[in-house]
Amino acid sequence: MAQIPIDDLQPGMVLGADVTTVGGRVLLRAGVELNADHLRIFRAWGLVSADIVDGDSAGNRADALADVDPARLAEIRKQVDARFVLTDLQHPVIAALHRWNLERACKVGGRA
Amino acid sequence: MNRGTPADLVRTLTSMPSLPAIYVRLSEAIDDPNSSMREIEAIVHDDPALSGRLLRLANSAYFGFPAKVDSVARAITLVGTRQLRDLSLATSVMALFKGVSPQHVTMDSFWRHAVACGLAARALAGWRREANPERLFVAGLLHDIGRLVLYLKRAQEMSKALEAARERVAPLYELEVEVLGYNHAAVGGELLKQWNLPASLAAAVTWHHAPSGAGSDKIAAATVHVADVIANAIGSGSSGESRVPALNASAWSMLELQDSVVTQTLLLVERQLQETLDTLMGEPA
Repeated sequence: MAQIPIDDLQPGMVLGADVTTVGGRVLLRAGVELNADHLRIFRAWGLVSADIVDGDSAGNRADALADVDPARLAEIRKQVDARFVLTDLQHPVIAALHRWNLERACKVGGRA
Repeated sequence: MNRGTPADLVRTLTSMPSLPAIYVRLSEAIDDPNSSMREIEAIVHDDPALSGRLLRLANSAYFGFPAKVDSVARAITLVGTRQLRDLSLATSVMALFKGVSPQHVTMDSFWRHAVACGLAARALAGWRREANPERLFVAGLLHDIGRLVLYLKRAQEMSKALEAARERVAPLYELEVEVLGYNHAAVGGELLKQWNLPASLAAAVTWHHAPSGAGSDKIAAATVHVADVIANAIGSGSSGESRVPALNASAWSMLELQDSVVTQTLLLVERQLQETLDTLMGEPA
């Protein structure tokens, strides 16, 4: 199960957890197979992501970084690490923030 | 040498304007159970800039109303008086500092970080199912307001602190204490108290680097603390700190949230940041 950003959600994916609005209203229950209407409704409610069964996004994300040229990744990691020098990278919250920075830096560079 | 206290500093702020009359009037009208919607509406009408921003807020994607909202009365009904007051406070404070240009940070960068922190705090409060997440938006928005005061009133000392932060691996708020004897969080809390804003708001700002000291407001302080770490990690805008500050693990535990909300918060802030900046700071449409 993995958090998938709304832009990457596809019809046919199956929810691994209830989808709720920021205010706590349940929009869809776990187990529902997404269709195009659901995705439209998610956008209308300002949702940003959903839990998807077998999303394997952690695996995909690891691959995303594995595709990056190792020298470039090392350079990016050095810059991100410098900004995180005050933090404990073992903490799951910090690990998530650190990883997000790595991925974003790789993505931005890749588009350029 | 007596370096004074944050309260001393704030007391000397004779050139620091008080909150505008419009905010005070609006706040009193909202608190007064006898005031009518029409009175509140009349106050908003007196301030064209606030009216414009209110309409922009009511028409933003955050509310997502299907039809265009084009009257102030309807906008107040849809947005709510609590959020109207928060909007007025946010834009009043931003307007107070509009003309200033500290040498250390641009206003654009400062408010970008502040708004990112406010959005993150509101999102965290929402996932905690708090009754009024908007309260946390305001706390996040104002969390570093003391740093603006310090840049303006203690410019030399802050230059020293920023220089030390470049040479040493230490958070800016600790270096402020070395140079000044106190940090920006204490100054911000004092300023909010002087403005007669709610004590819980001042506490969340005062304790955002040490949430466990906030007593009954420690959840709010912890929310702002985590939101500040997230906003610094996003790295869009800064109040002077160039690194991600350490996360206080017990503050995170206090919030009783799952780790997965971090990624959701990042996505949410990224999505809402520009529109919120436009609502609060952009030229009225």
